Amino acid sequence: MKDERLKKLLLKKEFLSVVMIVLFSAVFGAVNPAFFTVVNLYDLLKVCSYPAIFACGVMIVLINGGVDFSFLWVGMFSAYSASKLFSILQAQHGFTAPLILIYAVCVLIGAILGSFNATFVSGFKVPVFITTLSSANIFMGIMFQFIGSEYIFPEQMPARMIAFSNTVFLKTASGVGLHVSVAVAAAVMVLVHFIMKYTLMGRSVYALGGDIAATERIGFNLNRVRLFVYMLAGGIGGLAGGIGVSNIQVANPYDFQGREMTIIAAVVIGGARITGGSGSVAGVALGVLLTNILSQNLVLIGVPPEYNKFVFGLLIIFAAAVQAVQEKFERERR
Amino acid sequence: MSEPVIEVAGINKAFSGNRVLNNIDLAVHSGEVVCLCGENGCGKSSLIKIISGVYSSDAGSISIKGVNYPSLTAPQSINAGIQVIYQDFSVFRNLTVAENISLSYRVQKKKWFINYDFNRALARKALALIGANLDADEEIERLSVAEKQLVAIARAIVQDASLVIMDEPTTAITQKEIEKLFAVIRGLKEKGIAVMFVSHKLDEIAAICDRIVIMRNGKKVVDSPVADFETERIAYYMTGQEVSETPFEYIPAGGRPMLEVENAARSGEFESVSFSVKPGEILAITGQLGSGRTELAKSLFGLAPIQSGKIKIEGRETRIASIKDAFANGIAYLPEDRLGEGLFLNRSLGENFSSAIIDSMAGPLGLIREKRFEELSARWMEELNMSRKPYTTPASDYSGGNQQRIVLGKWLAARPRIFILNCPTVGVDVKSKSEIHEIMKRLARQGLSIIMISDDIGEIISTSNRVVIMNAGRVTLEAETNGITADEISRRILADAPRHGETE
Repeated sequence: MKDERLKKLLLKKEFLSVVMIVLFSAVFGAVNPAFFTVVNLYDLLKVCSYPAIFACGVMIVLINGGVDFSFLWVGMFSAYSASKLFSILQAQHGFTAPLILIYAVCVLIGAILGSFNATFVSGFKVPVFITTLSSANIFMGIMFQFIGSEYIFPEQMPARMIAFSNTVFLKTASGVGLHVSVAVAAAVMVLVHFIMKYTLMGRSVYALGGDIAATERIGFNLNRVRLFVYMLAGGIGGLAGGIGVSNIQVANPYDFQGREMTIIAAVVIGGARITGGSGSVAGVALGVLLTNILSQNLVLIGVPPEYNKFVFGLLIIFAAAVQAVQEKFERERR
Repeated sequence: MSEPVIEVAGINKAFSGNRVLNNIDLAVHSGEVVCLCGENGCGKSSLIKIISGVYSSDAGSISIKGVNYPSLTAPQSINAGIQVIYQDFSVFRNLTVAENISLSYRVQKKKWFINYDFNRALARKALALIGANLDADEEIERLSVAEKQLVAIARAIVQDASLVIMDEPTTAITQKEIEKLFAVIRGLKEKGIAVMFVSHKLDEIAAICDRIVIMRNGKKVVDSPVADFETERIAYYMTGQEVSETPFEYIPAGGRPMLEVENAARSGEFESVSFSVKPGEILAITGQLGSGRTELAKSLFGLAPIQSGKIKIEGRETRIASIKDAFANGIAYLPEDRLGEGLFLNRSLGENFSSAIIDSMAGPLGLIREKRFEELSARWMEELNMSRKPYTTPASDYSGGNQQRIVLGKWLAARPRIFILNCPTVGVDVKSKSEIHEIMKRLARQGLSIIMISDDIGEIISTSNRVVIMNAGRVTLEAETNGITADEISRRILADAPRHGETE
């Protein structure tokens, strides 16, 4: 019985990332005692915040059965457009947009872009990764052509976004606080967890990732489920972009570029199956933590920064291998 | 009789001018078990799809429990109590038993928020109703095929089914599980639920069905109580022609056995298995799923080699540790799961036929020569009695029976001396089945040694000359088929395991 429970734990998809977080933290902590300080923890959480929001969107699409490559451009498109709109309103009409409005616009633009993805996937039956690779380029092109490509500097940025980026809470005695974007990320994760686990729409996403024909047969409208998936993921991507731009305090169109793989890797390491049908917010949180602990601290154990990508590659292969072994083990248990 | 659960009249359906259903009238009453049979392409799937609202009919009327539906949609059909259990069961591998059973209920009742305790309670109630003992929290992935089927039935019941349509429910489950399924069906019947049962197996039809409906070329050709129907005539009604199978007659040619297996064992799968096959023989190996028959066949093909014992080929002791070894010794294997293991569905006929002998398709420079594909395909289409199509036609364009022939041709092209066929006629229609049997008999007469693994007792008696019955990893009987009755074989297959003195 105890043996059985141990096996179940070992087979838990989130188990791998917990073990690796503990392991790497021990190593980094041993090399540099400053690793285990509140300041470092707060710093780590801040770095994780908007990637974690992006990762939630990626997870939803992955559960539905596809890898999204467009999420960073959805995020940047939404954030840059909103920043530009409200910076112009601020400079020319003296309108200081409230934060909630700015982020609502980000979410809205993201959801609209997501609906394009849904249309392509449903309408033309194109594989998700091809659709989203193309749409990433389309979004990028439209943005550069019609919205802009120049930096928006801190002094031009909407004032509330800059103020927001300077907000901290849970201050320690020495005056260091936890960045507010961490709270936003936590709220998004709780919301996504609720939607995916406790609503019929959320469960339909898992169902579709498990078996498309069966989903249709029990009466779900596949196009509606896909629209839900991509609009939700798009909205989340838009918000992540907004938070990211505010954290950096500059709207730089190239800022997120090239980070797709680390975020997708975080989701996969957190246990979401690459072939769809499984994945959890807890796993995503763990995966994002793990990847950021590594990228922040590898230099501590003597890995030069230029090897970061190499180590990440190894890590993804390792995570995929562990998943494969777990699945094989599961099959043999039957 | 009471008002029918469903009554269809004058149903017609055509696809691009091709008429698949021709004036079908059919009524099913509550508590009735109706068997629907017909060859592939006879229109039974289209009829099921019309009843379940997936297709709309071109003409005719559908009424469910007295209500007329001029254009029945899928949700209407579900809400009216029509449930289809497809061959793949349409269960979600990644969700739990409880969620699989409750999800469609939630969709139907539009319950937007999920309560997991409610899911579990609903699932347990439904499972208890059909007498299935399953853990509601187990993931479907970990269940056996028969257990998945029970989940699908429980799911149908939860949605207040009054007619459950089961599409070939017995092809993938063992004899014992079939008996359990029949008990479940009898339970449904007692509750007044009608069952439409698609099957071709005569013993099953006689055992469980009240009425038999046979379709051919889009027409209903038989609608009769099973008691008044000569079940032996089923093949005639399904094909429209007399399909007579002459029992296989082995002509001893003398000489030593082609294959001898002595005391072969593989731990946990089978042990002390001995038998031999002579050229020109067809040896049947049967037993329940899990009796070790498939494992034995796979080990002879080098997929999971034997751990002790001997294999002799033409009297010479031979080690078969890999597929390559098997191949070098002229052993071919037709897998049970032809789609998963035998056929390249998206590849052409030529590529499929040549896949075991691809080296011989190459010219002097080692480059593939297209012309050889064409010659090879022409030859095997002819030998296997397939309708002529260009060699570039993808295998997916063929029906189940023809696909099985393609896999047969692929191995025959390699000129094997020993051919192991694992359930060669599962899921193929009656006509193809008898043609595959004829092909096997012809090959045996040409001197091939054939080992056929089969569940179908009729098939064993009519196509093999000797039968080996396995139970719990051991051979429990070896007999000439002309000296044994079907009942005896069936009794031996289902006998309790010799070692444990217990089953399951």
